[in-house]
Amino acid sequence: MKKVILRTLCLVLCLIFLVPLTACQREERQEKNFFLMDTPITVTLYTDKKTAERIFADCREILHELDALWSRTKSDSDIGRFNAAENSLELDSRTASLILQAMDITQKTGGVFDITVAPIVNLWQVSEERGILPTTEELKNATNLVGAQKLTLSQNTLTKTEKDVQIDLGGIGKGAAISALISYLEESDAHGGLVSFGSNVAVFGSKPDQKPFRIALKNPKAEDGYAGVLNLQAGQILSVSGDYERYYTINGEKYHHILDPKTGYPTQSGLCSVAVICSDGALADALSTALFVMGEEKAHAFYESKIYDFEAIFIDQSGNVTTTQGLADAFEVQG
Amino acid sequence: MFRTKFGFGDLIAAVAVLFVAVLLLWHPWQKKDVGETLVIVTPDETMEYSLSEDRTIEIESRGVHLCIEIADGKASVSKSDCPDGVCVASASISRTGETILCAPAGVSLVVKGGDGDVDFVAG
Repeated sequence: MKKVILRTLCLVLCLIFLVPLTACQREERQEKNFFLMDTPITVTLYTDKKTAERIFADCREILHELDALWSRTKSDSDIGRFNAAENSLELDSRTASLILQAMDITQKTGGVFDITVAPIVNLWQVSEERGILPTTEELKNATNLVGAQKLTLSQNTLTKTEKDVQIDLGGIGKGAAISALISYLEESDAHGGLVSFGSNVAVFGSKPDQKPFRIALKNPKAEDGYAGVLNLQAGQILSVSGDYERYYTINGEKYHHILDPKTGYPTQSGLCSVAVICSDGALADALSTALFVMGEEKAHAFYESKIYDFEAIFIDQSGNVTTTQGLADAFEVQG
Repeated sequence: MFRTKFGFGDLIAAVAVLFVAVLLLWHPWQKKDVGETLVIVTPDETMEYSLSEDRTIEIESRGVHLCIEIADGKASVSKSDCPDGVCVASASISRTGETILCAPAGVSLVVKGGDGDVDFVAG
């Protein structure tokens, strides 16, 4: 009798440990990588393969559509056409609403984020091509074209004060696009997943094992490469602006791409990276740039002003990591 | 009194304990930070390579020639004629979610698979 009990116990034990293994194999994690909006994009879904393929195709379609509207380099996009226009242009309602939001952020951040920065971006790109740094005169001419007051939006018609005023949605468009994707995915048949646009990450739903989505933040100054890890909740979007991945290279010297709209030069604020977490992708994207340009002290003051509801992580040029108050417990700093 | 003879029931119990021990050392309890696959995304295609097999991958993208090395479970960009050289200067990647971006070439390297704690590395 004892032997039977012992055998049964052994069998039960084995089954207990086998069940989680089989459950694990049922998790259907589907992933698709594509390159759109000049950015590598990864969409990870928890669903069956057939559903995933349909959703991936929809995601690609949504992003194609937004890229066709917001690309600065496509002459037939809303932005391409406005930049080439003499005076004004009627825009798609999605473009108009994003520009309205951008203008509001410009006003609330005191102009450290500004979509009319395009003439300065153009100047640095041309300077890189010709291999000569922009002159003070050239920078002055370019910065004179910058300022949200140079734009007026009425209904969906955007008007500029002079022909050479141009806009660039590079600091806000990817964030808006990730929000658009998440809105679609939340209504889709996928149970949960993660979308990454390089420096923008968002999650929706939940994983089959109900574990949180864990997002590590890169620290280019740290030996192990991580600043820390954060549990990103469904509905939250994380956006990072850093000075370590995209550059203008002129005469062998590297000049990072986060330009101060007021001086026209790459920002030297003492920060190496800023990550912003909030519920709106466009805002997260724009604020990560704005806080980077502000510098840490002013960024903390801006956070305290509660103009927007967000949290942030700062990495300075020495690799020191600090966070806003709301992340004190949620962000596990490494090292 | 304690029984000293090793019986058939004891043998089954020992085998069961061993089996459980093997399971505990096995997936999914044994977490690995190390990823299994290197995914290379270019504007034209997506390629996947096992990180467990050493190799060199040559890529042409947007007029940039990139040389990607996989060695000892780690991936890196060993050569690139892009203007800034940021990708070559980037540390090699091996942990799930780690990335290297070559912006001028529009190429990104992402480590996938494995069962580490992190879903994605942002930045």
